[in-house]
Amino acid sequence: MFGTMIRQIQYGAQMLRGGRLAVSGLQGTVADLRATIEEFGEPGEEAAVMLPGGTEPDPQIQRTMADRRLKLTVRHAAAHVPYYRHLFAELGLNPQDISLDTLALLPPTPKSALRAASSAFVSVRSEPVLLAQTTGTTGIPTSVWFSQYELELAAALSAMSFLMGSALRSRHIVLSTISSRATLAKLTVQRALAMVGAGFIAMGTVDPRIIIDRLATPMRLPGKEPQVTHLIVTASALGGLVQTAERDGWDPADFGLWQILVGGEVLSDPLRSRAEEVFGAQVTDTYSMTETMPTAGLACEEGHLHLSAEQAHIEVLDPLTHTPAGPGETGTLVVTPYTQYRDTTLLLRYDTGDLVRRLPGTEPPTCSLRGMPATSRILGRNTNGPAELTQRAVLDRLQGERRLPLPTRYAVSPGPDGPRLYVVADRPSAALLAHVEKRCADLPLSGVVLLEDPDELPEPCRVRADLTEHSFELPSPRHQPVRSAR
Amino acid sequence: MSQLAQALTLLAALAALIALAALYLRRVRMPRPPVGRFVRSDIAVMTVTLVSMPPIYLHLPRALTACAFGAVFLGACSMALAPVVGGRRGAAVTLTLGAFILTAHLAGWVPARIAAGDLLLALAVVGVSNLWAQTGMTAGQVAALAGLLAPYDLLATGLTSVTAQLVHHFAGMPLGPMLAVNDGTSPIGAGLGDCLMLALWPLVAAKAFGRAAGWCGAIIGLCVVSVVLTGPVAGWVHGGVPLLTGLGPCIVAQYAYWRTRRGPERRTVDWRGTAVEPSTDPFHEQDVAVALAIADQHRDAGWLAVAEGRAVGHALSPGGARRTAREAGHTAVPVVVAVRPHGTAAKANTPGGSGAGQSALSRAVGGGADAERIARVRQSHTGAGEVAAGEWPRNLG
Ligand SMILES: [Zn+2]
Repeated sequence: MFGTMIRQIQYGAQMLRGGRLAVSGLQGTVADLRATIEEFGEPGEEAAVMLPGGTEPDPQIQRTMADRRLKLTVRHAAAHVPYYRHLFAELGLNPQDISLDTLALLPPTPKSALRAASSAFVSVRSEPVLLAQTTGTTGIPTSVWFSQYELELAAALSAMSFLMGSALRSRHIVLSTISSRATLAKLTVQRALAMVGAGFIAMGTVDPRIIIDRLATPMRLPGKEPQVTHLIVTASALGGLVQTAERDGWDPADFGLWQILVGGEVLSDPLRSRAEEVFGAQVTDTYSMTETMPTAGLACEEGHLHLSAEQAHIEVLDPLTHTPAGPGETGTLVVTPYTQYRDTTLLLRYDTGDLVRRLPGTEPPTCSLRGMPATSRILGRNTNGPAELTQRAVLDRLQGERRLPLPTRYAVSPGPDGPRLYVVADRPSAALLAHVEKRCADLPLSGVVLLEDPDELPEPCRVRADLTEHSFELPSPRHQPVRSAR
Repeated sequence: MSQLAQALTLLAALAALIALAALYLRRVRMPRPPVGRFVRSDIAVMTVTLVSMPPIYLHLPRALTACAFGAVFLGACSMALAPVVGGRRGAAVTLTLGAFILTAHLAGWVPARIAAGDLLLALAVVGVSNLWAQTGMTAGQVAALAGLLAPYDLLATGLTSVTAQLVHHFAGMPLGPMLAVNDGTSPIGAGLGDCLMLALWPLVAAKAFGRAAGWCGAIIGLCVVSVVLTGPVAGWVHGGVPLLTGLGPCIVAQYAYWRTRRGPERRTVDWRGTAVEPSTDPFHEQDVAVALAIADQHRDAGWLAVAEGRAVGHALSPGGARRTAREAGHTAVPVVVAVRPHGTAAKANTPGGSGAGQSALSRAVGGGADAERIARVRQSHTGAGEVAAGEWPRNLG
């Protein structure tokens, strides 16, 4: 009790100061939280105040805090990060002049800059210990270096949100199908779950049939539920799982799943409900990216994306003009992670390229996460196509059609009289085309084309489920065991 | 009032206090901080505080100590009342009680002041003991505290004059740390620490070991009080008697008794009956090693679901085996094990076969997983059924 109190006072003081956080104190708080939950079954009343979004902080205080953290971050980056040292000199900007009100003086950092020279963003004062490369589907991976401090901090914060937000307990078993090369996600989740005491299975992105089989497999372990209770998966891989489970006739009773945490890609509403139906588990949409770690977003019951404002300064900017998007307007998420959480790869106004729509009107949301700033859920990547043809708009329409294969593959390409939608179908037919056309009637399309072969798409449609990892678990025609036995 | 009447009044008051605390524990759920529970270091901090405070009181002006105690008691009292009558009404009642005590003190209504002061102290003790019990203080921790305070009380009350000085210091003071039955002229009375331990132990004992332990704790506590009171009543003793010196070992002994009899203490979540863990074993006690032995008797390669000592499902994949069991109507979760290729299991069972021999064998056939594949191929060679690659999880045996 006294120890917990002292740690919380220390944490509060560190948060106010804006300096480095004591990781051991945070780990201690996680242990306290776990002990509390083990003794009482749940955290105490008002535990939600400890979570981002649990309180409705005074806007003035929030602004003052954001200003302080932002100034510290800008000064640190301008002094110790080669890219920003150069940028400030070139623009003739004084880092002391940058504050919350004058942040617009600083141009956003494009993804291409980080891709081209990741070491230019590494603080000369840091000790990089881990290179995390994104498994993005757009070609050159983005490389981000991390320090031990950042990794431990992210794990402790993650453990806290697992315990409080997801109600994860030591009796749970978590299976992740995130690519084995997504080092950061895998490491952080493993460390966080170990603090929680939950079981962790890192399967990687293997064949959906193997994943489903593993989800159904009973495990007789002391103090654990008999089957996997939580699944971490990308949206496209979830598509593959849903399709396999639906096709092979699996029943929710075959699984012991409670929650499916989806991230990395746009999760459409029809896919979410299909997954909830076939797996009998609650599906939660999350948002996080390697570059802006540990900033995380969570979709609420009203369909907003809520991003924690404690770990980063978040803006929604017009993709072209880089001016703030107005209420109801679409823009890209531009994130400045604070130095309190990041000391190695520092990014100022990092343009994530992820499109969101600002909530219309000035009324604050009334949902359960109202304390956290909210936008629409991610609409998709910023492309040059028509604004209405976002990835979410297309997927919301296509993934409700059960005769189309999952993960959904499509491309939008300019036609003579407007954009055309090319969709991959297993067995294209006139009837199916009519169905798809009806679903997409409200989109500004000049036509829909069904294709049997994904290679025929006018541009490749890459999804994270394509990062398939080989496994010998499934007998495949190319590894005919008959030959090895002879 | 005679010494005997005073002693009986005190005994009745303490019994009422214990009963009130127990009733409060059963009926009222106090708010808890979001994170934190009682741990061992808290007991150390409390002991150090309790031991170091009395000498400090003696050097503070009486008015200041009275104010400090008053603030603590009023705070604890309103904390206890808040979950029962609401925060605002609780505070109002507490302040009224405090104002009455002060008025009675200034007006010289001694019996009224004593009664109201005792009521305030009792409510504060009910609040604090419940706060501790409900924030996860364990019986072991209370026993440790009792064990530490017993020799201290002997030293402070029995062997030195610290307590006597304190009683003298607080005599006639409103809001003093005593459950008093007189105006401080006779040694009959119970200190704040005594009241707390008497009320607290039955609560944590009941929480940790059940109601019988709680009842025993209350009765034994009151017996100790009766024995201790015999001294002054019979005129054998003229100063204060160290109650905790007697009560401490009794609490430690009770803890040792229940701990050996009932095993580990119940957690708060078990005591409240709100534990979410499946209380029954989903596998219905099916042993994995036994399941493996059953699978070794099975003819077909693949995976076997075993429940209640027999095979209930078979498939070429572990999840498939669970599924066939479910489809066959087995609601219990089966234990799923692989059917080992014939030979590997048998070898291990032969008298001459050692563990090393078995691992050499599995190396010879290329490890467990490969051996299984070969077995599957052999099966298809003998015409037991070709396994189509795409049908792996669907082929449900
Ligand atoms: Zn919301």
